[in-house]
Amino acid sequence: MIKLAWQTPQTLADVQAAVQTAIDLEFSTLPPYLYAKMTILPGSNAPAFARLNAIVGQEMIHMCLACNIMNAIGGTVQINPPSYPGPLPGDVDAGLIIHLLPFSQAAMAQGMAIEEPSEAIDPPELQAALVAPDVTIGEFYDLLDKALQALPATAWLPNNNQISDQQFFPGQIFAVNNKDDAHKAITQIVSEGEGTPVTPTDNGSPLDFQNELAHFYRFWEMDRNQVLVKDPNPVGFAWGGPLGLDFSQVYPAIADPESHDFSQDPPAAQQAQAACNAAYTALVNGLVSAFRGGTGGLGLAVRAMFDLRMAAMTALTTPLADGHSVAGAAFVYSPNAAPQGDAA
Amino acid sequence: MSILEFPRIYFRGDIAWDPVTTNNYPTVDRPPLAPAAYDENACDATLSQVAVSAQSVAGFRQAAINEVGNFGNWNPAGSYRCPFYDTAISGVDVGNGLDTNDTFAKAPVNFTGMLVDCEPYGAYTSQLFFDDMSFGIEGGCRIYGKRVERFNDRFINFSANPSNNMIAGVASVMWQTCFPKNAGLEVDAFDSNVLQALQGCLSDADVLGLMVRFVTYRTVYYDDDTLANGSPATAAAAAALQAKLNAGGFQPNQARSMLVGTVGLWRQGEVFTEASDRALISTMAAIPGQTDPSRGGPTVATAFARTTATGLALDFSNTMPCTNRATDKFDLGPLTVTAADPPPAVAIAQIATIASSQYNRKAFEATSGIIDIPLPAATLAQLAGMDLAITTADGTAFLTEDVVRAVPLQANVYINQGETAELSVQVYLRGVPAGAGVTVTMSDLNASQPTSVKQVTNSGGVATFPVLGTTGEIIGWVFQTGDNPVLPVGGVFTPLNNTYTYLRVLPADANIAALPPTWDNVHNYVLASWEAMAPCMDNWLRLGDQQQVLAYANLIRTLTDPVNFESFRFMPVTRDMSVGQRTLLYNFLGFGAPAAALNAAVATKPDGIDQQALSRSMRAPVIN
Repeated sequence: MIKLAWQTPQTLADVQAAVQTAIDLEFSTLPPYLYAKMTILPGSNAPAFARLNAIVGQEMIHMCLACNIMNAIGGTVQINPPSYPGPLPGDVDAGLIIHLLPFSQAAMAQGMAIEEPSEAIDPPELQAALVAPDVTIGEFYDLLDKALQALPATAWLPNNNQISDQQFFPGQIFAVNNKDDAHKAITQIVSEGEGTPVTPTDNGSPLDFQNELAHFYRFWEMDRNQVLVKDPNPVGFAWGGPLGLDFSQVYPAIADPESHDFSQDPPAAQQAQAACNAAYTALVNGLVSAFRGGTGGLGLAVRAMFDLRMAAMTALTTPLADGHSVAGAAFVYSPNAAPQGDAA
Repeated sequence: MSILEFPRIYFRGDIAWDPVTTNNYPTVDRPPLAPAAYDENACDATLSQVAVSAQSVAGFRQAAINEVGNFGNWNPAGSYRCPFYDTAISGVDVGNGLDTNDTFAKAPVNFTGMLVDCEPYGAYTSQLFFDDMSFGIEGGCRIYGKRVERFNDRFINFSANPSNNMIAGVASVMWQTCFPKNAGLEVDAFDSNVLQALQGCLSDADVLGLMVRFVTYRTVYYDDDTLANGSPATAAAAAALQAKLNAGGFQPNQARSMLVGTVGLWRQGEVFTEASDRALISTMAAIPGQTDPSRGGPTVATAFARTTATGLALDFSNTMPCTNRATDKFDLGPLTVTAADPPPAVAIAQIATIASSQYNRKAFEATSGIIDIPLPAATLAQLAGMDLAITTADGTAFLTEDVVRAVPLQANVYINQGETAELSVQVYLRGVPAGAGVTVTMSDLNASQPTSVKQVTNSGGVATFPVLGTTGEIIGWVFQTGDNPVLPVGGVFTPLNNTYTYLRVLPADANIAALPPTWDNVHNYVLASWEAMAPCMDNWLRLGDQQQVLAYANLIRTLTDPVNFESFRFMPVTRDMSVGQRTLLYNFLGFGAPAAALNAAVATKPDGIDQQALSRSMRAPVIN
C-alpha cells in the first residue's frame, strides 16, 4: 500500500509542490499499467485488455487535470519520469515498490495496492479483509483539495496553458480556471480511482461518479479473475462468475527492463529498446510542451505515444540473449536526446 | 412495434465526431476545386486532380492543412473515432409513464464508432462502424449488444437549428440499428423493472431482438459553441488548428453533438437500419414568422407513429426544430393529431391535442422526443385504416402520413465492379408490411429527367431491383410507391421524405492487380492514397514504411479481409479498397490473390440493371 507524505501547505509554493506530487503520482502509474496491458498476447484476455485500457486512459486524464490545476495556480509543470523498480512519488516510507510487471496476478495486485481506498467495500465471498492504510492517494487528494480551496482568488490564473477535451478524451478533460474547477477535477480523479470508500456514514460503492467501476475494483476483478456483480446484500455487490482471464496468455516479458543489461542481448533487441526509449522521451517532451503552452504539444505527445506502442510491439517480439524471453518498453527517459521544453 | 412499443429505455448525452474531412472535396465538377481532394468513383486521393502517389503524399497533406482556412476543411487529421461521452440512461417506461428511479437509470452508455461516409461528397450516407454497444456495465444492470450491422443515418434535417449556423451545426439526424437476440445480445436485469420486462418480451417469437435509435443534433465545431460560418472567430479557430497541424504530431479536431435515443423492441417486419413505423412526413410548411424551409428556415421534420396497447406513440426525436443554440424548441402552440379516411373520403377527425409542453426541450430531453397520447381502444382500432396528420391551430398541416411507403432493407450497399447488388425495399401500408402487387419505382436521386425503373412487390411486400455495377461510381437510388409517383427530378430530393439506398461500386482496378508486386507499386497504387488522406494511419502503421508494412503483414491481411468489413478496425477505415488494390497488396505481402473477391469481381449477372447506363439515362439532359 502507499502512504503519501502530507504537510499542510503554508504558501502558494507549498500547494504547487503538492500538486506536482499529484502530477508525478499520476504519471508514475502509467508505465506499470501500460506494461501489463502491452504484454497481453494479442487476441487473448479481452476483459483484462479492456479494463486496463480504460484505466490507462483515465490515468492520462488525471495527469492532464493535475497539470491543469498546476497551471491554474501559476506553477510550472514538470514531467518527472520515474524509475522502475522504485517507490511511487510521495510515498513516505517506500512501503510499496513499483515494478514493471508483465500481465499477471502480481501486476493486478500491484494495481490494487496503488489504487487502494481507505476502506474498500467488502463483497460477501471475500475471505481476507483489507487493511486500510494510514494515508491513501484518495486522502492525499482530499487534503490537496482543501489546500486549493484555501488559496485566495488572486492565486488563480484563468486560461493559463489549459488543456481541454478539444482533441482527445471528449467530455473528460476540462480547463481548470478556479477552485471550483479544481474541486471537480480532484473529485473525478479520486472517484475513478477508488469509488466511494466505506465510512461510518456511507456504505461505500465500487462505482465512480459516472457509475463505472473504479480502478481499484477493476484490478480486484482481474486479480480474482471474477466479475463483481450487483447483489441484494448489505454491501450491494458480490463476487460473481469468472472473468475468463488466462494469465498464461502473455508475452514472455521480463520484469523491470530498466534493470536489465541489454548490452548482452542481440542488436535487434537493443535497437528495439532504443526505439522505445526514443519514443518515450519524445512523449515526455511533448507533454512538457503541451503543458507549457507549446503549439500542438499534446498532439506531438500522442503521436509519440503511438510510436511507443509500435516500438513496444516490436520489442515484445524480439528475443533477448536467452532466445526465449523478451522485454517490453523500459520507459527510460533520455534527457540528452531532447531537453524538456524544446518542442514548445 | 419498434422503440415506440413498451418497454422503452431512454438515454441522453453527447457524441464526438472525428472523421477525416478532406475526402469531402471532389476532384472535379464542383469549383472552386480544392487541391487536396478525393475522386469517389476511382477511390483515389488526388492532388491537383492527379491521383496521389508516394511522391505526392507530403504535398497532399500540406495542401489539406492549407484547406483548413481556404476551404473550411475542419478536420484533415481525424481519427474517424466517434465515442459517446457523458451519456447515460435518462429514464425508462414500461407502459406506466416515465420512470427515472428504475435501478437502470443513470447507467452509463458506452459506444465508439468509426464514422465513414459511403458517398463522401454528400451528407446522406454517414455510417458508424462498431463492434459492440453497452448500456450499463458488466456485473450490473446491463444491455450488451454485439454489432451485426453498422448504424446508418437517415432523415437528416438541415434546418433543425438555423441559429447554429456553423458547418453542419444546423442539422439533426437519426441513426438506427438492431441487435438480434440470437447474436450475442445480453440483458442482465437484476432488480431493474424495465430490464425484467424487456427480458420477458424477448422470449416472444415475434420479437427479433432490440432496436436502438438515436438522434444527434446541435453540432459544435472547434470546441466553441459560439462560432458561425464566415466569422472572424471561426477564421481564428481555423488558423489555430492550422498552426497545430503544421507543428506536426497527431492533431485531430473533433466536433461534437448532443444526442437522445431510445432502446426498444425489434419485431418481425421492421427494417433493421431505419425507422419503418408509420411515417408522418414533412409538408415543409413555414413556421409563422420564420423563413420558409425552402430558403433555409426551420423545418418541422418527419416523425413516426405507432399505436400501442394504450394509445398513440409519436417519435418526435428528429421533428421539432430548435429556436436557438440552447436547443429550445419552437413553440407552435397546441398541435392537433387528425385522422382521415383514405381518399376520396373527406371526413377528418381530431384525435388528440399535443400541448407544447409535450414537445418542448424539457419533454424532448426527458423521453428522447417520444410523445405518448392515451387513446381509447376503439379509436386506436380505427386509426389502423386512417391517414394521420399533425396540424397547428390555424389548420396548417406540418406533417402528413406517407401511407404507402417503400423502405430500403439496406441503407448503403457496397459492391465490387462486376457484381450485382439486389436493392430491396419493404413496402408498408400505414406501418404494416404490404402484400403483393404494389408497384415500386426506383430513380436516381440526382436525375435530371423523369426516367425510372419499376418492380412489383412479392407476397411479403418486398420489391427487389437487381443492379449491376459496371464501373466505379456511387449512385443514390430513390424508391417511391404507386403507379405514377412524382419523381424527385431536378434536385427536389429530400432525405426527410424520400427513402433511398446508396450503391457504391468499387472499381475493379484490374490494371493494378496485374502490376508486379513490388514495394514501389504497392506504395504508389495502394497505400499512398490512405497515407495521404488519413494521417491517423501513421498512429497504427506508417504506410510509407516498407519494413513496417512487411512486419505486420498478417495483421494487415486480417484487417483488410472483406469478411471483416463491418468490424470497427477494418482497414482501410474508408472502405474503399478495390479488388485490384487488395490483390496487389496481398501479392506483395505473400498471400496471393483473394480468390473469392477476385472471382466476384469478374463475375457478371446479365439479369442485373446496368447501374451506370441507367443512371446516365436519368441524368441526360432533356432535349426539347
